[in-house]
Amino acid sequence: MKYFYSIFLLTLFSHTLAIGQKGDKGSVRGYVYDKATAQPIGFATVKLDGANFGANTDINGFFTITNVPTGQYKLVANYFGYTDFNLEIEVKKGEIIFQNIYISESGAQLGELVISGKKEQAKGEVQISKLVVTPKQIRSLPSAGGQADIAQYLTVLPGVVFTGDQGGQLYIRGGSPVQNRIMLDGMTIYNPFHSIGFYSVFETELIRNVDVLTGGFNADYGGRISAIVDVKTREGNRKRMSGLVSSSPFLAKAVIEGPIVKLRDDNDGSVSFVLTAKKGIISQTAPKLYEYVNDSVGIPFDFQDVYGKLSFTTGNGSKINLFGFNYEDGVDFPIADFGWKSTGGGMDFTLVPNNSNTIMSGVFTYSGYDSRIEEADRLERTSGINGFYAAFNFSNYGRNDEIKYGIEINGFGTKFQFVNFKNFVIKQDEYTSEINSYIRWKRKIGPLVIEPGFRLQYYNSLNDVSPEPRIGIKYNVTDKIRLKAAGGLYSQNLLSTVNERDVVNLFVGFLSAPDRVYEPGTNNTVSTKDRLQKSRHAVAGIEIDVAKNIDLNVETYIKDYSQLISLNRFKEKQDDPDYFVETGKAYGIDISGKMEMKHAYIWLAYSLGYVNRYDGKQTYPPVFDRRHNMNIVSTYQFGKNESWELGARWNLGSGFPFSQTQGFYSNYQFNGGIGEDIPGGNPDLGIVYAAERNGGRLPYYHRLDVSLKKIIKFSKFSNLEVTASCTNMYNRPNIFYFDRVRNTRVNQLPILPTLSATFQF
Amino acid sequence: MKKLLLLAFVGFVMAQCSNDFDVSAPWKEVPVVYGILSPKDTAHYIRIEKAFLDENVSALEIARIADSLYYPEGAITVFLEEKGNASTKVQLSRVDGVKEGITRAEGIFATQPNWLYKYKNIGTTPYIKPDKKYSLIIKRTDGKPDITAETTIPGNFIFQVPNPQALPARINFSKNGFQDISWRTTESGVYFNITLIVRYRDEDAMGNTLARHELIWPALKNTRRSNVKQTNGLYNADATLTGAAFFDFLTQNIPASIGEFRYFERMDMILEGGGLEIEQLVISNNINAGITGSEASNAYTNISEGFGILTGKNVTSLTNVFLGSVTVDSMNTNILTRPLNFKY
Repeated sequence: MKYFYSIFLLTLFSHTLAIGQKGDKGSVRGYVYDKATAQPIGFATVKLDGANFGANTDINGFFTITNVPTGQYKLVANYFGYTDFNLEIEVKKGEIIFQNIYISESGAQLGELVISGKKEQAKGEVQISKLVVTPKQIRSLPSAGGQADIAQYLTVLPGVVFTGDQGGQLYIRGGSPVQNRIMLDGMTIYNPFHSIGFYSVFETELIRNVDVLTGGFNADYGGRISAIVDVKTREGNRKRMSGLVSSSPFLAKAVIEGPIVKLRDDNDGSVSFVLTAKKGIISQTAPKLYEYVNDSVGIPFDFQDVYGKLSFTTGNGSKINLFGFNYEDGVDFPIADFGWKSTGGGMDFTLVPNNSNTIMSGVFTYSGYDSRIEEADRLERTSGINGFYAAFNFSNYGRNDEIKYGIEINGFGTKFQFVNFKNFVIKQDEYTSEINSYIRWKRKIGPLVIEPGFRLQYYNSLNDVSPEPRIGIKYNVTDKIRLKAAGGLYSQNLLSTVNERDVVNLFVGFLSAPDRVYEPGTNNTVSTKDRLQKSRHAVAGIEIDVAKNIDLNVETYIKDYSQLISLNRFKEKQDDPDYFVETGKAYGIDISGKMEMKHAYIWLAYSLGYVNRYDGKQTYPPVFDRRHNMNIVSTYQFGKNESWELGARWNLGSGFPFSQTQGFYSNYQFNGGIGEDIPGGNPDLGIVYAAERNGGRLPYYHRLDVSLKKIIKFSKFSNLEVTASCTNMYNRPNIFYFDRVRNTRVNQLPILPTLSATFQF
Repeated sequence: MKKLLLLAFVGFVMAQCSNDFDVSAPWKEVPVVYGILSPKDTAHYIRIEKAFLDENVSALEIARIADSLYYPEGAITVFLEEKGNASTKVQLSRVDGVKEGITRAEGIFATQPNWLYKYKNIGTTPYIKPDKKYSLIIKRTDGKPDITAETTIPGNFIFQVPNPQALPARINFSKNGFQDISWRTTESGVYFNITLIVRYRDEDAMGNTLARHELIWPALKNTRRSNVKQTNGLYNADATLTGAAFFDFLTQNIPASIGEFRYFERMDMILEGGGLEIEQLVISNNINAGITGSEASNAYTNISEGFGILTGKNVTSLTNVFLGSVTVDSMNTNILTRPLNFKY
């Protein structure tokens, strides 16, 4: 297998795969930027006037037009709301023209051309199970607590299930949090969400875009068996000092950014920085503002995030970013005291060689995450994971082809420790490393876009190679109807010790490669190489442009989790393995539609999902199996200069499964051995769970959030944004948890009105 | 009109969303049975309860209501018999432990009445005999299947160390020293507790006895025998008592001397051994204390349905054990035990 792996790597890096321009032709490439902020503009149209050559910029503002016959052309770039750009260029044989394009705002609003640009891109990319989220979309959502955040936006996406306002976890198309990889500029973030559930560690103002890949993702992503959330941040302002300060009853934050070496000429280099900090203040404001919440407990969540980035950009688009972060979180419920800290840093770079169609990028990071929980019984659990990640990626562009390949090295250590009810300390420390490589090729053949990929995951601690073919296909049936499909094999070597019976499911203990694992329903241990978690995905869908500004997307999917490693709940002897293998399936249909008008935006998403697990004895639904999930989001801009914005979001979700109580009983534990006093003793209370695992269902969840936003402009760059919002508008008592023993129910957050203000300069 | 329809739709959906749910599974009778049978007991008590459930009241409140814990009178009849010997079948009577002097300790569950099922030996002949297998049969008058359990009573244990043949049997403790204990058992004696009855007297300077005292030292719990069967059909078991633990026990239970002199008297060593069921239950508890604790299955039971265990135990005592002079010498050089003023 190692031989096979070596051959693959050699093949990968041989330039025989390179695609590019024919000998008598040239190329044009560059970036499109906003002239005022020097920020890249995605979905802009760039074309060579008079010739049938053009391209749309990607989210980084990058475009490339290859195989252009030699000659004189007019390079034209346009984007609605911006003045057009025109430049005479001469394409010479074998040459690559690099041209940065800076365009200025004309005052008009974003509109048809953007939609047109996105639709052109939709025709040329498979885009299956892929949702691209922009900061504008995040900000348009009525925000719980008055501050927009990706954590809130993710929950309105089809296929995404969030288990609660407080201490909730994110599940994507049947994948639990540990099976979903959340990345920040290439770096894995092990816990990106704060305990309160409304906020992530990511600063909305800094996000360039978020790719949410809910399944069937191609070979450039791996190491997880369910989904990917890839967050990319922008660089600091390269032209002037700018920033914002913001406050709401939930949090206060500040962003400062600006040039260190100012961008003077359009094709010049620059050095910029950005620094963001936010701090949760709800635990301090709640006793005064929200005294009625959670009875006497209040809203005991604290968090603080600091992120900094230093960017060096050259005139030809090459750049290096250095970044670092420190994220902290804590919650102190009467039943659980929980906290975590995540720190890390690294660098990424993009090299755009002047005379090659190959663009190289890379990332080197180191991060650590430590969490601890102390429950009402005062028994502490701690978990830590820390490691490094390095990756090199190469992208090669042709007129109808695009090839991307790369290699990743990933090493991490896990530390898990807890004190059991007998005060024994149980520890498990492990270290593992992975070497992965991939190749992904995209080819347009008329109305067909095919995107085969292949990934090799080498798990060093298991000495196991996982070959993982991937495929994505799109067929443009008509100009308005597109069929698409994707699939692949996936693996991962990271598991968690989430306790499904935890009242507040906050704590995730990370572990890798357990020593011994049982096969499902047997007493046979599986072989060393079979300790990976594996899945197979198949997705098929259709995109319909119902009207110029109305899109409909329907996708059906199945994820076959052919091997999942779980805690062994059938352990009978002390020396039995702690883990056993389960299998499972997640399948369903996601329907989403959006309507974009000049002043209004409507988003509707409905998911019908089924998730099950088989433990060798019974097939049961896991605790996150939500049958129906629906989200309706709407915004409406009005008033002079559209300075008012009204937003609403309604979420409806069917109830989650749980194991019902069969009874309570006298539980003599014989801790004193044979001396137990049966006739005169008064033992602990034992709980008998129903034989059918997760056979009960919690009630439906639904919540309406509304917001009203007013932007007061002071100058070209400075404005004040005031937002009045109301979370859980009709005060629905959604269940948070149920204390079986005391027969008491605790609900999620009630109606929460907030007022927030953001000053931008 | 469209807005009205939308509002009507939202109102309809919300109205459909009941906020109630069933936290409890449909009622099912779950018997809970605990019993330890011993040849050394003159009366044998079995605790028979049933799991309780109320959809509207806290389990802690229900646990205080005795009627919710026990089967009503006449709902069950309980029998014991020596396996394979139908003539030994006897019926247990339902008694209130409180009236028998067995009061349930204060805790989660109701203390009065304390319903137990009892069988008293006839005369001086023990009903429960070592090395015999016994069946518990609980017949339900509503026609449901019988609830059954079986256990084998451990045979009598044979002390090896201290040597019972030595007159007197002798043990010694020193500050950093160890005292080995070993014995032999039949297969059904698996888990053991060792208890020492420590006796001493106070004397004045003239040698007059002022008082006699008796302390119970639970020296070891849950010590397991070897799994190797010897040629004589028995199994060896051993344990180690530390001098430090013994001295700790003394300093925590005997006040410092205020002038009186103290002398150890002969001690008793009591060996209690329990059946395999105890081990299974303790192991399942330990598993629940491990990494899989939150997901482990319910505790071990040998009751045909429900929860609890029926097990057997035996007790062998070694009396008049002599505490050697090394112990007292060591105590007098130890800063913690010297104030107790033990003499030899």
